[in-house]
Amino acid sequence: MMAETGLPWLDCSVLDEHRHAVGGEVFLEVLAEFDYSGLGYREALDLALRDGRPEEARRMAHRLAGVAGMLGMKALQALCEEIEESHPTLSSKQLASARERLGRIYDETRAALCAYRRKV
Amino acid sequence: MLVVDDVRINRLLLGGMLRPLGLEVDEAGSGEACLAAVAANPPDAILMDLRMPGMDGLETTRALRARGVTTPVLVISASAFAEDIDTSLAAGCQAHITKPVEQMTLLDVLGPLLGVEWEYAQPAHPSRGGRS
Repeated sequence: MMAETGLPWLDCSVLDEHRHAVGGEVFLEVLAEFDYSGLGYREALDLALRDGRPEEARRMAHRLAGVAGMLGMKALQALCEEIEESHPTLSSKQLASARERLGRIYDETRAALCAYRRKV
Repeated sequence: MLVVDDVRINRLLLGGMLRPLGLEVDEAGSGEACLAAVAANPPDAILMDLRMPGMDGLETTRALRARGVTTPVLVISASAFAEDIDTSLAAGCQAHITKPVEQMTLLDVLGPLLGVEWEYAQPAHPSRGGRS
């Protein structure tokens, strides 16, 4: 399934590459860490967008973009990079749209990751 | 080796790519922790994230060089822009690779910095075939 940007929720070849490189035990630890800290970054970013704290939003967007980039989460990475680049100039309507897309893309990415886990 | 990144997932992945090869890998979660780690146990090379709270990767590298530390620094960055690469090289870094990092790319860049050549007894990745 593809995001509205045309980017995949998850590039499984990136995860396959990591799984072969680091081994199953560390790979599972990486995925568990994403469950924990990825959610924390997403929530912190959403709150910063809601509360109008641009520096915190940019910091969290950068972190989440970095994690998403390392794990092949293309649509989430693209959205977070967009937020990081543009946040100070976003209107309230654009901020609301960014929050809505963040929630939806994060959830779709999590679902794709769950499906990947079931396969490997 | 020392992996410097404020994001634990990245430290897990980078360390996980190197430890199976027999390399000893320490981790630091900030630029300040990097300086302390290098002073306590000088590594053969440093893998450095650029954007970190507090001292960022460039500030940390400049601080290392100001202290006379010549350890090679390999920047791991989301950016592939030429000006960002030039800036990191000017700060005293030796090489630059972009995320997502693949193990083979990491080893290709790290080998010359460590002065080693990798030999693979079997294909390092099923989809890529072996190298010698």
